[in-house]
Amino acid sequence: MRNRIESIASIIGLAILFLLPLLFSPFNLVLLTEILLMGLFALSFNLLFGYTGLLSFGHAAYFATGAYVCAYLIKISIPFILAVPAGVIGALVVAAVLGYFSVRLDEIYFAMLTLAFGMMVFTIVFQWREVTGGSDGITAVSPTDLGIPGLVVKIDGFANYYYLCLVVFLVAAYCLWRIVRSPFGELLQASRENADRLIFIGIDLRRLRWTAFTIAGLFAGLAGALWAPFQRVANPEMAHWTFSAVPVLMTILGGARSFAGPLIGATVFLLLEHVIQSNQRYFWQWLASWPIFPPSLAERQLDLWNFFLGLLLIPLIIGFRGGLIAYIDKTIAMFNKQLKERGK
Amino acid sequence: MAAEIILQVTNLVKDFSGIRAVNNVSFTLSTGTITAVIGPNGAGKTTLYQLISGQILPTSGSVKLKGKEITGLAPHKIVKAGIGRSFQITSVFPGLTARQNVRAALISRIGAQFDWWHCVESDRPLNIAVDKILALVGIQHLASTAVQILSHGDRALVEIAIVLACKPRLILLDEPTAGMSREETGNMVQLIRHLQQKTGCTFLITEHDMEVVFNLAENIIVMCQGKILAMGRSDEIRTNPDVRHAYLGTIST
Repeated sequence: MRNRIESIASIIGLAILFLLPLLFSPFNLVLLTEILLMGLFALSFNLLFGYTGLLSFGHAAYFATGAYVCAYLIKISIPFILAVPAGVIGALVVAAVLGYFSVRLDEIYFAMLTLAFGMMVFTIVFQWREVTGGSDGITAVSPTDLGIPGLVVKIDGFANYYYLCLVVFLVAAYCLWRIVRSPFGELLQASRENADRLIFIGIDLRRLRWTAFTIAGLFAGLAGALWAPFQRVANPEMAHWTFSAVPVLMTILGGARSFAGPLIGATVFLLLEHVIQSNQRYFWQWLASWPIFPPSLAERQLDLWNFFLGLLLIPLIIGFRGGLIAYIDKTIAMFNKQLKERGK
Repeated sequence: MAAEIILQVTNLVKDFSGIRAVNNVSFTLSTGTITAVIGPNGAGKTTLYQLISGQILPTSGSVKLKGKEITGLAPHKIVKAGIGRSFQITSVFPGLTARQNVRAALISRIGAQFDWWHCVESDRPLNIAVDKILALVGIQHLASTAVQILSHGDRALVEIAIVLACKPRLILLDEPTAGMSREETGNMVQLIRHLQQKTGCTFLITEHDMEVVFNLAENIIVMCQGKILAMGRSDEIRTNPDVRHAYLGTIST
């Protein structure tokens, strides 16, 4: 019964995702594509955080590697269909190398080491002007076609690119979903619960964590490789540690202990950001109408988004560690209980 | 009867910055026996366990399992070689269910740790094997319960099930009845004896409760200040005047 409801719900959900471009304006499609790619980025981060218990604070490094490799290859006229996998492989290699050292440490030391490695990657893309374009990044990354010989598949235009990202996202999310339910995924969760015990059931803890780190880097790289053509640019901000904080916040917002948590977090995060940023001028105008505030407040485009993000995160962290998804689960459970009681 | 020797510890020494925690310890264990290591606090029992299970490296000496040198191997490799252990402070995977706890160990045992595609929940042979192990220690009814909400006694049983899932030849138990009620202690003693008969494993047990020791162990090793004070059959140790003086004397006046 429950399985049937779940499969019907997912079919309806998929249908909606595929039909959205027919209903929405181009601007909303941009927002949706952003949600898909940042959602994938957050999912990849949560393989390490929620499932393995490792807080990576340098996850942007792998996202940026994917973005830069892909952007660079597109600029030298390599077809999109090859540039994206190359970006993924690039991210995998960088994650494997940096992860090899990072997993030697635990907890805060792990977080700090990943942060340090992340800033090293940032410095490289910022300074190596000949290849990365320095502070401007690689600009005008605008592929028009998938680039399969003998087959024209347009990817320019918001709807086309949205469909491309949707398909890639679904495949990638399905792979991650299989991974967390696999024997490997079960051991990752066991390592989160008690790493010492894991060693004494005969597991090479470092190798396990290293593998998880590399897989997480790979999927972050995939998100990045699709992000650069979407934004038409690969810039150093994507490698900065503040960008590493984005999947952390999304995951905490949505809930780390559930597979869908980071996705919900990414959706709420980006929707709120959009709503607040496009309406904040009304707030400032209202405030400026008060006699105690200077009228100039109305003209200054002060950003409210981070302030609201903080306001939203504080109660979640203090009172609802499971994130929004735990709240949704609780509501559904309550609803089910009421249905059952009515059924009697 | 010349039983096969499973564990051979030779001249094992461990120094901790000037303190000799384990001092020239040698002993052998025969396959299928239960041996207790006793001694006052600080006698070196836990250090001895850490040395055998590879948590720390010995200053000198060697440990052989079935004639194969295991000194200096990484702990997870020693587990694979056939030594399973429990901890003085029960060590389980608290946020997971009892079934997941045992399943994790079994995944390691069958070498499926890098299988990232098959669904563990729907792997019937794996789950049947897990249920068998849970039944062996008598906690099949707790299979779907998160281990963190179990009582201390039940958690200790989960830990033993985890150890069994690794299919060890030698099981090191570090104070298996610590912090347990009389009833739980009795059950644990019965369980260990049952497991010895059922699995043919060799057991090495540290224990403070003398009743448990004399109830279970065929052989006893008495440690004091890092050295072996005496070892032998349980009844010999019970009547050994040195041991009575040094250790038992303090409790049985």
